[in-house]
Amino acid sequence: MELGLALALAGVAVAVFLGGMGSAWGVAIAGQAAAGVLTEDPDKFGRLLVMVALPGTQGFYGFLGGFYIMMKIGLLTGAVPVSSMAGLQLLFCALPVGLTGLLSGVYQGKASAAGIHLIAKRPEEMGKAIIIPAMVETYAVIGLLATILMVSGISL
Amino acid sequence: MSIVEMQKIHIVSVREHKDQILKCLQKNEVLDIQSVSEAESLPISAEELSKYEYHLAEIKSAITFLESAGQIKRSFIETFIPPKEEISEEELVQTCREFKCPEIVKKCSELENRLANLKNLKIKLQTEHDKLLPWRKFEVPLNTLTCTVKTCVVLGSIKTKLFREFKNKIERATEAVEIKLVNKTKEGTYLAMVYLAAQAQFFADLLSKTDFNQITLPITENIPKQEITRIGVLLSEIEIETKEILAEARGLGRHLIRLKYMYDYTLENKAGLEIKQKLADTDYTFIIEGWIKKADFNKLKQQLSKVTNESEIFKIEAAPGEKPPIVLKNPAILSPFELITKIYGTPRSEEFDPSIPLSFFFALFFGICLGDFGYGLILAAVSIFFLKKYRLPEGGKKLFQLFLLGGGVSALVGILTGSYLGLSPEQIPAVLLPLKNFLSSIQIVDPVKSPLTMLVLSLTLGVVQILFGIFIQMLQRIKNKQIVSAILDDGLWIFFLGSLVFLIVSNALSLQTVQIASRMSLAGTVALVLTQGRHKKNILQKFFSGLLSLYKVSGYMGDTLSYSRLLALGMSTTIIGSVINLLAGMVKGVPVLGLLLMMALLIFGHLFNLLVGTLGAFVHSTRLQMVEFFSKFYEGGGREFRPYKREAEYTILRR
Repeated sequence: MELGLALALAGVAVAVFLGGMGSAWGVAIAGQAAAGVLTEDPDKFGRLLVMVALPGTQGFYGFLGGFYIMMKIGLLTGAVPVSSMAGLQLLFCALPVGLTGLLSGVYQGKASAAGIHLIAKRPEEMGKAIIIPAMVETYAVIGLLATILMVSGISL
Repeated sequence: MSIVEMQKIHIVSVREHKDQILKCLQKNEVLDIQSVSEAESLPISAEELSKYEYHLAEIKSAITFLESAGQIKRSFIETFIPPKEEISEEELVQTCREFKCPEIVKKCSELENRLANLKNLKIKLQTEHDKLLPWRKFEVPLNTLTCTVKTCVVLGSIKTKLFREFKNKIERATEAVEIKLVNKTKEGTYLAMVYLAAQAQFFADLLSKTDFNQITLPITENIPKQEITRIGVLLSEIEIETKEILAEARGLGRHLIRLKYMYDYTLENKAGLEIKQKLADTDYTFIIEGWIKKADFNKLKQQLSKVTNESEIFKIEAAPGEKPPIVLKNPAILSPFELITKIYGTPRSEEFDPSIPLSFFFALFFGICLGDFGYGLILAAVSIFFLKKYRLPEGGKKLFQLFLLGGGVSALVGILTGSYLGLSPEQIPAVLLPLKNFLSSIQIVDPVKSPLTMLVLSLTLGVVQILFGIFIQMLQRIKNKQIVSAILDDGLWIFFLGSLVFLIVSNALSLQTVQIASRMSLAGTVALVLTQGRHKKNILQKFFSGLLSLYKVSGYMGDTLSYSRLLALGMSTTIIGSVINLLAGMVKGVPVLGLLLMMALLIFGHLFNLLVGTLGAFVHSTRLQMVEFFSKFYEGGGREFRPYKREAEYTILRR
């Protein structure tokens, strides 16, 4: 019983920290590009902030996936007993959101940085600059979705 | 559908009236002026144009300098919406004529240069000062530290912990050396060494093998202490002078507004010059060529006749292959959705304007992605505030109108899915039982508890939009008289995909209709295989290319799955909202500060979630339109209608 809970918590941890890492990494990449542009034109701060925030969602998705597992095992409301097999299952459930979050976060950061360069030269094309990095995010959303569906499919 | 009909026109008049007529066109903002076709291009006055550009750059740098000297900061919102001054045209022209612009600009650049020089000097002196500081106890005039015929001097530092070892090493190597310790701190030991000129090479080699760091001090007749004082005095003088210059710059700040007027005035003159290059001149007359909305033709004619009766305006045919510029016109409530179309690209003249078809889906998707009653209302309120308070540029206005509509739909979706700032109806305290019961009764689905239902709903919306997209493609082809392709490509695909969906639904619900549905899909498959290869010559190629076309089904499947993001995004706003509420409930227990902390957490947490949620909702609903919906029927790539009008950065003309 105890092992099951531990495994489930490992799942929560994996979802949260991988997603968070991806976002932190991606936001840093975009942030570096933005800071460079701001040395030339500080007035673009508002626009660029949006671009820097774009790769930040993976962290939330990871947290969300983790939270969904926490709700499943009733961690905050009164724990439901988790068998070790169920715990292992929950750990696997955490992988889609965690790993897609990690990688898509980094790459979305790179796409965002490219978008920031676009805005530096053509500020009027901000709409397009936002949409392109959002293409990368799709796969983090799919990862989150897979995690949620998997978790809701498990019977404890 | 909602692309405005355009008319190409010529305006002909005598050259004396050129300026008046251009002014009139600029005021009316109805004519997109083109270079006159089949006319010899005018000698381009590149020199004059670059003069304007240089002038603009000068004024701009003066404005930037005065703003930074006056420490005029823009608020965060103002970086998006720079405030503009309202002024009448006469006043603007009058001010600019009287304003001695070159003088002020020159003064500004002088001050700026002086400031830059002082800054450089300050940095130089500061480094010298820092360099001298460890030598303050060294009471030797610095210009005496040179080599004589017999001896040489070298100054330098070494890490204190290495000093003993260093000294031993030197003294072991040669006796003809004098090491004088000047200063010793925790980190570094500063020393002067005198050695024989004859041993210079030997000594240099010796030093290079140690960690000794040679230092060259400035050469003056002062001893270091005096020199440090002298630099200190200079630095404080620089400080004073900098302050004086800044004060003078702040004094010049009163001209800031006039500089801004001047900037816009120059910008306008430059635009006028550029426009004139597009006209065709004869000895006495000139021609303006351009596009106008058909509906505006008579209005312009009337306006021109007010300016002069020596002008003629007439309609001409577009050159073969020439495409008119595009203006979109939609009912006021739907016009904000033109923003999405424009981000993707203006339609071509033979295409439909997709703004209306996408409007319903965009608003709904935005609503589902944000999906909370409270957030929706707040977003709508904020949008109304911005629309009322600020004079927004066209794009910004449309964006907030979109947020207003999207916020409204979110509020509705929030009611249906039972999400009120992250709270579900069940969490409403029992005191408000009637409200609780009412809200629970109108909730149709709880995405957090039954994600599958919501997933099916999202995918269904996807199927509907994709089929709708193919349907529009069919209409477009019928309109362009490509009847065969409309029926065989689009019609067949709609039938085939429809029957597939029918089959899946029948199977899932184990209905009696499975038989019919499977026959329908089979018929669709056969029909596609038979028709999709019809452009190929060879019968074998026809067959294989028909068979291969079935592969497109996987593309449609991928598109449909993409709509699952609606569920994921909607849930993420709700769950993060509920986590914020949960945390707030936890900190409430903290003694003394509990309530305060709870309020802060609730306000900032929800505000943050709203921001992230809105960004996500906008980006992903836009993406669904552009990638999944537009790919079915829309290409874009038309030229947007840009009427000749006043462009200004700092001012708005009062009418």
